Amino acid sequence: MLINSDHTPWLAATVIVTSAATASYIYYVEVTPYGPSGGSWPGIAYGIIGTSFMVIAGLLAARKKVRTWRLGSAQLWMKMHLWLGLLAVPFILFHSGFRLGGPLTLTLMVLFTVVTLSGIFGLVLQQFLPTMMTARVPLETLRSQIDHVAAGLSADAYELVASVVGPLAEASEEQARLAAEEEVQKARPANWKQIARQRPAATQPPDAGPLRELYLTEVRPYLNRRPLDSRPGPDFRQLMIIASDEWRGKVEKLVRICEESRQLGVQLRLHAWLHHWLFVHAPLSFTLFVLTAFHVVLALRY
Amino acid sequence: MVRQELVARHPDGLPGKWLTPEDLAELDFFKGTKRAFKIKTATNFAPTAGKPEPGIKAAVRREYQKGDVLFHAGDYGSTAFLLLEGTALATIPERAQAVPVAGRTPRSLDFLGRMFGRRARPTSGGDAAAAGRLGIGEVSAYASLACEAPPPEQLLRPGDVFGVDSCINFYPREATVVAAERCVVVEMLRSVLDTVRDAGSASEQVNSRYRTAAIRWQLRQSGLFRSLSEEQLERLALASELLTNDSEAVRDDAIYGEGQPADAFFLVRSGTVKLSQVKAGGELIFGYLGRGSAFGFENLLPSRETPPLRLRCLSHPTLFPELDLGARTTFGRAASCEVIFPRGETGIGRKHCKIEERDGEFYLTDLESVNSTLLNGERIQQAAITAGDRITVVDYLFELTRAPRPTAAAAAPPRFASARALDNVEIVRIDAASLASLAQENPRLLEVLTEVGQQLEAAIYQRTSAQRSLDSELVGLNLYNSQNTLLIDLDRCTRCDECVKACSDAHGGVARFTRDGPRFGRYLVTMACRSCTDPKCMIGCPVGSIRRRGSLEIQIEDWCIGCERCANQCPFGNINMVERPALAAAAGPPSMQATVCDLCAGYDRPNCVYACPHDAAIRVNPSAFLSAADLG
Repeated sequence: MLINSDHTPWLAATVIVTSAATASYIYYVEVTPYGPSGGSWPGIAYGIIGTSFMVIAGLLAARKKVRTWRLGSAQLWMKMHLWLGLLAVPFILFHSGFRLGGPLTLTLMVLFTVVTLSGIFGLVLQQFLPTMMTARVPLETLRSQIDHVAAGLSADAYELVASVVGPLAEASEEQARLAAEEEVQKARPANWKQIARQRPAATQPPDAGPLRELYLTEVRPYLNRRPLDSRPGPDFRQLMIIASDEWRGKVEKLVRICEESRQLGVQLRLHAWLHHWLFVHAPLSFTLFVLTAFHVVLALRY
Repeated sequence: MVRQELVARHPDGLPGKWLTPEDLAELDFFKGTKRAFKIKTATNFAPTAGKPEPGIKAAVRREYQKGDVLFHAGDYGSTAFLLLEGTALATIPERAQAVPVAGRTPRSLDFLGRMFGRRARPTSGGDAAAAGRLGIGEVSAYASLACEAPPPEQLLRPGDVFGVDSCINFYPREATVVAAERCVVVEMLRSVLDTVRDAGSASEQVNSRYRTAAIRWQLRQSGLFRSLSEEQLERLALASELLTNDSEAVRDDAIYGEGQPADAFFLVRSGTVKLSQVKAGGELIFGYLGRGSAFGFENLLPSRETPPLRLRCLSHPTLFPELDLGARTTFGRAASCEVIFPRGETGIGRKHCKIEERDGEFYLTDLESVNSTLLNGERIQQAAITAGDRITVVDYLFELTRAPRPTAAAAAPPRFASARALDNVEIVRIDAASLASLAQENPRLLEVLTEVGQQLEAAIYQRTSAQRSLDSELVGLNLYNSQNTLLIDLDRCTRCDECVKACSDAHGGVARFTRDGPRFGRYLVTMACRSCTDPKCMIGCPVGSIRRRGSLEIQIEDWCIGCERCANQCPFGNINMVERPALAAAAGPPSMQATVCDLCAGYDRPNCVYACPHDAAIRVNPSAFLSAADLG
């Protein structure tokens, strides 16, 4: 979520509550003869408040499961997640008296720290990665469709090359894809999304050998690379120099296809950065809640 | 009794009896002399795929009691009405009321959102962003029904057809129609109305009455003619014609071309018109005009050349006739002067002063006279002068004015730009000569038209290059036509797809939009229904299943036969065909049904926006929301 002036009231509230809690903790420490303790009434109060903040923050995951339920907008819940999650930090620290305690509480504190820091890390990434993706991937597509789009690019490239040099036995996958596409289109002739494909050339022009060679040795392997990465595509400069007027336009299209494939690789990489931190944050958060519940039961019972 | 109470009487919706083709054939209005009528009628009532009996509700017979409201001005509707029995009153209000969508009420927990959910959104022109976030279900400002001088209420009698405008153009209802007594109507979908208009025996009657009513309504709705009397309005209406894309005068969507004589004046009744010039580097778009706009003012405005300065003697008007200044005008007692003073005026020199024109400006120069020349009371040697200035030569006071503008009787000036229809349009064409004749009777009319024409000139032709870039982009992406577009701010969006998942959850597992599409600066224009003012998707549905029903959102009813016409006609690919599970009683392959974003009808707001955790998904009127700054 982008932190901007929308968050000013939340920031102000967080600062005020933190300041008040800090002041109360300082007073509590001053008046307590044996130092702060999580089992004292103030310590329990800090713990309850901090845990409540954590629970509310954690309910974001549940809220996302019931997207159409009118429980407050997702933006509101995300803001609560961010700011209450941050507010939980001082309260939990005050509850612990800045001590790590035994194995369980030590584990809790480590988990709490990792969860908080991973959340902050993700928040920081969200401040600039979306803008970066918008700028660097103008040909962005849906993440779930990248494989499909990439395969389509391979088929498009084969269609262009085959329309110059004729069918290529090595590109069996691309041929199969184009054939399947044709079958689908025949089944729905009224559909507007029909694509008119070029037919393979009957014979290869004498000067098109380099095109065929570059396609088979560099372009096709590049477009079919898996996993998709962001390395630059083949170098077409030599080919552009020797290309005839007949098929130079198709080489230019090949350049654009390879560029789109490269951008898909960039998109995958940036998307991974935007989301993979959740693989740390989410499961550890769940573990934290389970152990917190354990801690609450143990602490209150014993 | 209002519509909500009528709904409450019958759980399946408004009461009425669905009509079969045989039922319709018994009514004179639906009799056709052409075979095409029978074929088209049969199409309207074809059985829904998989259903054992005709289920298409293309025409329904309804009965209303005295005081029942058939529809309110401002309602979105997709049906026309034929009055069979009784009478009804049609009233056009001064301003239509907003029509709330069922369920669109804020919920209690939203107070937190209102407190803490303030948006930081760059604004353009002050409250443009706020204005751009169109409230769902409100009357679109684009289809404003403000009418300062509404016509008297009209009594509808048996045989009258009404509601045609909304049925054809998909704009909100123009009038409120209330049953004056018990009345019976046939309410029909566009598919049936089109059949009658194309092939029925009443086609000419329906079309002619529609054209007449459309012209009269547009003249009234436009504030330009409010100074005219009823009789003058009627004369103006008779001098007007209704142009559509199919009219002979409109070829290839061109209403007029640059350089053609400006012999008419136009009002846009529906659709959008583009004003542009062809330049060496391409087309220069000045802007686009929508419903309620007027254009073609060249024949009313002065020519682009500045009228000459005219000299008028205030002190001795009978001695000196008014004189239009030329390249040089000399004042003095000499016979060679253009402004000759009496010989006895010895205080005035033989050549006292002169006015010369240089580079389009006029300059007054004193020719070393004994008694000086005064300009606005001050002695000058040489000074630039303009309209309004006063020149004093001893005892003679002159004033400079502008010559009057050429009258309409002069040759029609050439068009400054070409006007082309961007989509399906209805335009009222008013003959310039008739308008000029009325203007002579009613000077106030000419004043208003001239003032508005100058405002249009300032608004359209003097737009900055940034504004024109914005217009070009809006036209290029067809956003000018959109009333409610889902934009995604890509600088906020983390590509989590929560919006799509929420849409899917709200629609039985089938998302109604795709988080992909063209970009406008940092905004992604998603492939979601844009609630076009000119919805091409609704044209030609053989069974009238795609429509607006009381509010802005487009609905596809369950009697869709899966012909894909709407999906193919949507220019943006925002309608998708999905498989419907085959009904148990049917044999054969699963049928397809069109699906489209319906703005989450039944919810208080669209779920895509509601479920976006990053405040990236917004629904706006793009013309009001987007600015040149967004292009980057």
